[in-house]
Amino acid sequence: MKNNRGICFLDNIHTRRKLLGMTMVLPTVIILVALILYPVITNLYLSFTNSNLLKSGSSFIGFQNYAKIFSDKMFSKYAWNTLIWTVFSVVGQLVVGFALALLISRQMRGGTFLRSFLLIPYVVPAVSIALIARWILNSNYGIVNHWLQNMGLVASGQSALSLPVGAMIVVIIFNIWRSYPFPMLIYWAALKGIDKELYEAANVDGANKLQVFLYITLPQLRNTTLTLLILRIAWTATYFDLIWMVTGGGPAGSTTQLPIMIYQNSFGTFQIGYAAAISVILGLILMVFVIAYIRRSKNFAD
Amino acid sequence: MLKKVAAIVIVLAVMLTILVGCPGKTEEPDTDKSNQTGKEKLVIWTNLTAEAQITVLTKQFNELSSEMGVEVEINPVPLTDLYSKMATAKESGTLPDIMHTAEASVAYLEGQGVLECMDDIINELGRDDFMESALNMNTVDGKVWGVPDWVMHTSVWYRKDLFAKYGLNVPQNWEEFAAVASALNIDTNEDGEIDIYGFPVPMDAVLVATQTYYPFLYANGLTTLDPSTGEYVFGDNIEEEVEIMEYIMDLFKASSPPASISWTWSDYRNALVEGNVAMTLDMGAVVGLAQTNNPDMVVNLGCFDLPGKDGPAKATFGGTYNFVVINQGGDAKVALAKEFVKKLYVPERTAERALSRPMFAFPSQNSAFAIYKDDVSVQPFQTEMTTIYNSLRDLTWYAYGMESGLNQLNTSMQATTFFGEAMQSVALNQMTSQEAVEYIDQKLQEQIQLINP
Amino acid sequence: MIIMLENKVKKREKHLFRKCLIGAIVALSIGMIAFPLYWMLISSLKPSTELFASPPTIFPKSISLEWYKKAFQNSMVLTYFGNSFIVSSITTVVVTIVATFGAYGLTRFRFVGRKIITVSSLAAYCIPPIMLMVPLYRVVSKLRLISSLLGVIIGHLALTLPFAIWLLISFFKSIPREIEESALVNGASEFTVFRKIAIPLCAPGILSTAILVFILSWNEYLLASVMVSQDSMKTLTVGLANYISNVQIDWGIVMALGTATTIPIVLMFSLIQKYFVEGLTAGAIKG
Repeated sequence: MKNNRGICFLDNIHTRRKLLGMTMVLPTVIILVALILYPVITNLYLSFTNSNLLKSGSSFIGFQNYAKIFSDKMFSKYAWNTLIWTVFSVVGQLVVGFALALLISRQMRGGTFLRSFLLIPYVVPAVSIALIARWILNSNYGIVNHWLQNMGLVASGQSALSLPVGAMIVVIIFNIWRSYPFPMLIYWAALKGIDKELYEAANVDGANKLQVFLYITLPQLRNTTLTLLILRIAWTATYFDLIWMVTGGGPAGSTTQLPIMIYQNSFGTFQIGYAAAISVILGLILMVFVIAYIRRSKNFAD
Repeated sequence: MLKKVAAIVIVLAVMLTILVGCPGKTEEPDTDKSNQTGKEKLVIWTNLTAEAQITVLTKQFNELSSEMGVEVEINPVPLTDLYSKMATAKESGTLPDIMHTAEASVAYLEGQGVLECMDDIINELGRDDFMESALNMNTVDGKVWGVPDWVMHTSVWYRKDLFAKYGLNVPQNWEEFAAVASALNIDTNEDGEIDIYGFPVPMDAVLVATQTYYPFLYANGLTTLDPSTGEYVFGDNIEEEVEIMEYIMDLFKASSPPASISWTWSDYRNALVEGNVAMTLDMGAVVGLAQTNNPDMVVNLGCFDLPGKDGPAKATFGGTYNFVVINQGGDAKVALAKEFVKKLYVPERTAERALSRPMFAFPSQNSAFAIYKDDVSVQPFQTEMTTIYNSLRDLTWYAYGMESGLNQLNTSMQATTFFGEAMQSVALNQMTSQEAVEYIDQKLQEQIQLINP
Repeated sequence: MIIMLENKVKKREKHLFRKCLIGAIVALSIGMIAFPLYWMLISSLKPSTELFASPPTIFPKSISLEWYKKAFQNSMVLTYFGNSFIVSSITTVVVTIVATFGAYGLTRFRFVGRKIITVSSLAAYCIPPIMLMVPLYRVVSKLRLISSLLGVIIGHLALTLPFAIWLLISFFKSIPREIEESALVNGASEFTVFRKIAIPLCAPGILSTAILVFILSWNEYLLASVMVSQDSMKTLTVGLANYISNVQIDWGIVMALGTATTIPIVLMFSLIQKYFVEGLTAGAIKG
């Protein structure tokens, strides 16, 4: 578009295009400002006050909330939980998604049906999953818990949901269960998109299947993986609903991650100033990932 | 492609119309309705999401609605997200006109200054007719802010048949209690694993753990606040509180299913009713549950007060449900809401509401109790009823944080999860009892700081 | 000759083995997905004596509809269902339109602040929804929308728009500009190009985005639980979550309601998943 001839005419087009572009983006900007920027700024402000929900009125206390975060023993525990929950959930769903993508990219009878079937968990509401999880792991009447007891993994009268590690494993498994279809589809598309000539060239060179997989398939999927990673990390680390409905953060805070900690500080101990500070920290940490991603993403290059 | 998109959009639109059209009530614009019909509208929140309770409440509200010519809108708000709801609604001035709720919300709303004083209604209805202890729980500085509807009382509910079968007597102190609890660990099919546990120690962090700890504290005469002065005394008795925590943990290890770390109310109630435990602390809701889910069990149930360490309980643990009126809608609305609440306190109605959860809810009006006790659903429990009713009237029961009257500390303790976290940590050996009690003490002091800066 | 034959046999054995392995993987994954849903379904059909049997029965001995009768007797499930449908549909339509315009504007035009908006729409994606909760509630109540579904819709707009923008940006980027540019050279107006060329080219991508937004909105719990207090305005997730509040979990009823809420959405999705797959695989998200 950069052209030196007929500057006056082009300028006109430029202005018009600029205006058209801005008009098209305007509704987005309005929504982003009113529904995201404004709440974020409110939160930022709250995080510097001692606001609480028991008494009205608050005062500015500088960085005290932030100082408190770093002296709060629970914060490091819950931050660690957030890390465990996010890493295992994300890696798990990417691995499962990728494995199933390899499966459905094969030519086989009933392949389309299988693909459709594998998509089902994506639309099962989190609340239904929570119900199922609590029911099948009920210490007295839960079928899976019963099997675990028979295998000796869980003591009699015990439930996997009452064990700190067990509860974390359960919520992670169910989170993977409901979120692998998205990576699966994306990987499947990416696999289909790999240039066939690359494979042919490799065959000519006498590479075996493993080598083809390692040196052609995987590198081709690097960008897809990175994008999925960033999307799923941001989504998982801020995800509240499933854990809240399955374990409520217990037992002994072993499945409490930062979003639940924020909720408990807002509506359990009513310290919304402090809760706001935690949410700012969580947002900032995720922002680091996003910025790292943006710097190397094609989507944001011109 | 475009055709496909269009087709899908049309299908969606048709489904939408069908769905909107079908239930009919989904999209009634109700904001202007009161103006159209000329009727005033009262918005009522209740925490009672159990089917039987909401049915009775709805029935009574609707009766009054036609009797008084007002419109009512009933919204059940479950206890689990009550505090986020109240806090956000208060922030934006969208609280209901009337609320039917536990003392924790009464305290919260009173602290926000949005409640209407209820002394006039109490006086009109007859102050003497109300249980004094229930009134105390709604009182700050001599003013009553909520009209008590019913009271609840925690006892040990147990299997009379199993006590008889194993020749056990009602325990009189902690040593006996622990002995009875372990004697009731029963391996019915002799496979080497316990099938019926003696006494579960439920510790779910939301609402439950605190209710497990406090009956033991009260039984030994310990409180959070001094009942007469209202001063914070939990921190003065750490040593005894640690000892109590250790006793509870011993019970947990000896006679409770390990899963009870995350048991909630419905878990331990189901366990007693379905025959998986032999005793449990409960506010009598097991009776109603047995009546619907396992009627054969009803005759086997009985209750006694949890004993203190060396003898009978010094105090017991309980709670109330109350009606409050919120003063945000202008004088006329408030007057109407008060009138509405007052009309709910006909003895028959009070009794009917309490009977929707037999043996769990006891009417706080003496006149209503006379009707209540003859009802068929509580008929088999005459002795239990007398014991509970007497100890309710004796003024020796408290709700945590409210030992000296209505207090927002109770709200904090109700909404928070730190009790549960501390107790679960001890049960999982992640904390000692000492650390857990100190942690609770520190958190409680933090909350008191918030309430009285 | 013999060696060749042996090789053939080996190959066939290998082939057979692989077939079995793949068959096993397929069976396992189908089982893993189907089992929880199957269990919810049969639990809702077991009469109370069998529901609380220990050990549980894998195939119900008798089937009864008592829980469904109880669940639908007095409950608002149909209303909740309608609410969820309205909320999700409106959110989907609004977000899809706004995001299509926005993403196109951001990818095809140059103006001040373009980059910032692009970046911040992705940044918005990693803000914890819980952080938006209280402030959004204030916005909604100031607009006096607290007792209508619009409050929930506004919350869901905030949650889904950043993701939709981000997806659509990559869709538009994946379409070669040359077609549009040649149309422009031929004298078509920018808007005509957008309407007649870009949108049809990107239709599969737009449709998949719409479906994703619908699913996100349909499943959302946190904001929906705060934005309305009226029972008649609750969405399905919130209404159902109320049944598992720990006051009283009536497992039979809860399982019946869970089944009743899961089946329609699964069926609906099965009908349109073809387009969802088509769109998502049309060449977006390559990073």
